Amino acid sequence: SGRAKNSATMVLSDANRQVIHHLAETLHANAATYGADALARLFEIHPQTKTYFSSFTGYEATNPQVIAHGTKVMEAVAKAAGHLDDLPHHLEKLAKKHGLELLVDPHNFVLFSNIIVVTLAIHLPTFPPATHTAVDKFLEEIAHQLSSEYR
Amino acid sequence: MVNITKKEAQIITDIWKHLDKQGTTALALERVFTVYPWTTRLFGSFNKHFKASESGVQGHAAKVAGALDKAVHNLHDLDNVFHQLSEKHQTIGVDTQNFKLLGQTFIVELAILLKGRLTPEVHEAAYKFFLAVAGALSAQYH
Repeated sequence: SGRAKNSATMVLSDANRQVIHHLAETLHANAATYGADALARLFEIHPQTKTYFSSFTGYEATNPQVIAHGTKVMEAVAKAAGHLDDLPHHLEKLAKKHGLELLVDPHNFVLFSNIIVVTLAIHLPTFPPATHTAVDKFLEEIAHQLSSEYR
Repeated sequence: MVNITKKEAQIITDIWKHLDKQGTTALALERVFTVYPWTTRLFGSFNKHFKASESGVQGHAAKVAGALDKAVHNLHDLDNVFHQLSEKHQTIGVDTQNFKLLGQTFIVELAILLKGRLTPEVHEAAYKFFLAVAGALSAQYH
């Protein structure tokens, strides 16, 4: 079929991929809003995550640093949506950064994924179980790739 | 040990008071069965009927909603409230992780319902509530 082994398309069904492709533009267009909201919720609900951002002057969604970082993360998620056929390769640089330089505990990717899901449920017009499943699998695949260069 | 503050208790009580408890619980169950299909493991009797409107899900939703109602009214005594239910779930063979998964899908249903009214503060209160309930339901496992 020409799909690379270990690519996200081995995990995501055709229906899942359709959902993710459809969502990508919305994520990109609303990266600041969704990203800042998700990050602020992560900091509120899992305060230990703030330890990676000790230089921040504040942790609310209105804080410029939270907006900047949240935007960065959400843009990366939106971009990854266009690389389902070569996700490991596409995320390799970010994986190395997290695994070798930032040393973020990979458990945080799971925590953040769950928060992103709730954030999308708030902002998207609809969020039925089938969409939720596709998003959850996609974020899990991103988290898996981001965790792949630690050891 | 999850420490639910007075303010969070008030938020939880308030949300629960205005909720369609049966309806939301049934939707949360359909969602957990769909998004995390391994949670259907012990529900063979539902014959793969996992939609919220179906009788198996409605029946289980009634039980779950009843237990959550008790929890909301006894937030500082959850281990006691869930003592027997915890033992029962172990006897049945339920993986305690399922309780956390249902917590997540319940919060997603609240997010769809409340939209912006699920502020980070309300979100946190809900998260801590379901974490505390999951903990109490797991407490008697041995």
